[in-house]
Amino acid sequence: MDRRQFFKTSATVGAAVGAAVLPIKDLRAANTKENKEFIGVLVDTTRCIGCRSCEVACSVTHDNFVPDVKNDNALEKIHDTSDKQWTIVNRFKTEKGDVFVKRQCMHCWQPACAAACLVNAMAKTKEGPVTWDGDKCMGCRFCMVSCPFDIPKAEYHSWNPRIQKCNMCYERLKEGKKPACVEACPTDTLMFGTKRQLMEIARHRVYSHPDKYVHQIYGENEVGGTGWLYLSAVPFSQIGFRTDLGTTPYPEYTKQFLVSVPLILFGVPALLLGLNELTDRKNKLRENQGWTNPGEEDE
Amino acid sequence: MDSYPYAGFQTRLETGAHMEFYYYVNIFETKGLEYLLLLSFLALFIVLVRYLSVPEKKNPVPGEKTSTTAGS
Amino acid sequence: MNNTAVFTSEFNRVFKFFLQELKPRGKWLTPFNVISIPIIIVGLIILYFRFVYGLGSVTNLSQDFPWGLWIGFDVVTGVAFAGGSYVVTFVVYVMRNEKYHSIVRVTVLNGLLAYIFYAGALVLDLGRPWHIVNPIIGNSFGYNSVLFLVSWHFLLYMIAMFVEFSPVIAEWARLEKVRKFLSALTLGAVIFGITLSILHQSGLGALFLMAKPKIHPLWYSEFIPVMFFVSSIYAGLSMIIFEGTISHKVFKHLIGEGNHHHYDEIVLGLAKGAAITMFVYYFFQALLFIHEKRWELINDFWGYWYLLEVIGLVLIPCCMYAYAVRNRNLGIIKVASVLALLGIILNRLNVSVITFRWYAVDHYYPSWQEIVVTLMVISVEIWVLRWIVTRMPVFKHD
Repeated sequence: MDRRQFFKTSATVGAAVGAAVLPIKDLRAANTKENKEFIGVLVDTTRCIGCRSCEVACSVTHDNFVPDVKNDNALEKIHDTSDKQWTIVNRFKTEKGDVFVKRQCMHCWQPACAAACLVNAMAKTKEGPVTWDGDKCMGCRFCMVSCPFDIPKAEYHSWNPRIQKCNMCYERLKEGKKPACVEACPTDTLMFGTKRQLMEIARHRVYSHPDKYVHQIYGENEVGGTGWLYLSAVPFSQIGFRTDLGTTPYPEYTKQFLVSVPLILFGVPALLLGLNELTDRKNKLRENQGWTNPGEEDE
Repeated sequence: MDSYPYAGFQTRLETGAHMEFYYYVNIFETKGLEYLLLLSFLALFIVLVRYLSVPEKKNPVPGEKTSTTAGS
Repeated sequence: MNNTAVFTSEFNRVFKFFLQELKPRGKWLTPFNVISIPIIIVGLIILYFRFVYGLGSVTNLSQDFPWGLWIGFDVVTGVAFAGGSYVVTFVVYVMRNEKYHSIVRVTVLNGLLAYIFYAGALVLDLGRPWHIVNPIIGNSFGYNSVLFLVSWHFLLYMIAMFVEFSPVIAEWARLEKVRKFLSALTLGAVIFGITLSILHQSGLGALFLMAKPKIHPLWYSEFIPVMFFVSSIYAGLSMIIFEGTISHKVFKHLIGEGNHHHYDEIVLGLAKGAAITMFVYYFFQALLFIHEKRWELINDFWGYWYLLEVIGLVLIPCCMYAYAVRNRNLGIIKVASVLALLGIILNRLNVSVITFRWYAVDHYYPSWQEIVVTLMVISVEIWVLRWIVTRMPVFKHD
């Protein structure tokens, strides 16, 4: 057998063995098999009566601080979620009356927090909810810096702090149940489903009642799209939503930099070695012609 | 208006109408000025490098004069 | 004598030598000691409270302001100051410019200590510092994260700098064969170190790219990483000049007389590099100013604050450096270095803390405990530097 024959044979044998052993055919199928659509929640603020059952249900389910909705005056002031409450309701006084708005993690399609997390403690699950894993978290709070909605909250007064934010009741979803807040809501303000279904419902509501709603579904395109969608009777800036967040998914802002990392790791060492070689050559030539480096004469 | 924790200030995006795609936006608006800046940078850079190219002085050895004119 | 016997006897000798060297020399009641010892003691007490009662008990960090002085100053600014080591090793080992050889050892030492202590300060700021091994041991690699890259680069860069500095340690312990071996690794470590530096200096800037709606538009741009990298060059050069001024007074007895004269030429050379770099950086800022149409934002407090930073603490020290190099005026260079360093501090703090959520009603300011711990970190670093410099041949030429 000559060399050429040897290479041809081994190549074909190798390919045959590879095709038999490696699940090449199955890999493509594996890619398309698991495609579930993301789930989310539609919040129709025109239906909310501010009963705050969602706050209570959420805190009860997750062992957090349960607010005394009858006696505390939490609605008097605009406030934010905290390290003790994953969701809160705010009351806004607008020209169309009182508008109640439930706020919590938006479960973005491309979350900034998950892109920021260097240990994948914050991660987007395949089903849609963005969850936090305490076994991995170092408490660096980079997720808090990156979130455009300022949602993650840290337990600053604990020696072993957690990052607190809504996880869309991921453990309940695994059991086939809806998020606790959605189940507790008495007025159908909260509707649970896939984002595709919710978008169609939301559009339908806006088209059917064009005077009742502002013609925008908040979360459709904001920050590249979020899992939680909002409908409102008044402009969103009046009910505590930032309208300047852009439509670019936030991880895209770091893509340019992360892409240049391997480029620099490939290019710079080669460039530096090249410069080193050139200067060595230049110095050798100079010395041969009787020139010396500045400063060398003194040593 | 109360000071909401989220929105309460006019950001440039709101005033600049960048999020909506229904208005004319020229993203190359400042390109002319940028090229002018680049040219002036290159010119001034050459000036700067020439300004800074000062020949080095040798180390003063104690006792040795650096000047050869008497009485300086 | 066989090899193991030689090895054991050498090991014993070095070990005994090291233990003996741990003993303090010199006076106890120097001004620096009198100030730094109470700071260190109070700092340690504060750290006890921080670890037992949580970060909130000693810092002014909040849900709105997750990063404060420790990240903004200790880590982000501190690392910029340590940029001198990659610049100087580039000039000496890559470009083979022997003029700066005498400052390589002390600059690399300063850089190594800076990274060790500022990475240490980072650990103090973590909520669950024991999980810091997670991104290292492969338990959980968050490849998508800029911070993952920054932390790995910190680790690798510290190793590279340690390799660059290790010949000095070997020389001190009189392990000649080890020193030769380590010296051969220097160019590789330098090239590796420069590459890593480019990435993590810019990486620290890239951390803030996703905070676009929260950082004031006069400071935010997609080019923050480039700006951080370029400014780290002159930050490092200015720090070498600044620290060198102090070292040459404090450690005068360790530096030979000839080196003092030679050092003036070095300072002029460093100032020249700083002038050019600051000029480039200033024009980068001007380009961004035009591109982002920042003239629309100039007419309020933040506009003036921006002008203070870019004109007062970049353009002016740049001109001072240029004038001083031309006229060989070392006094002006020293003042310029201080102004340039202040400009760097201001820039880094502006991006990371001061203009972060600039619109907030109650803005973050550091608590006294945060300030004391920062001073403690710097003090301990200087203690270690002093210990090393007075014993190891740092100011000697290799």
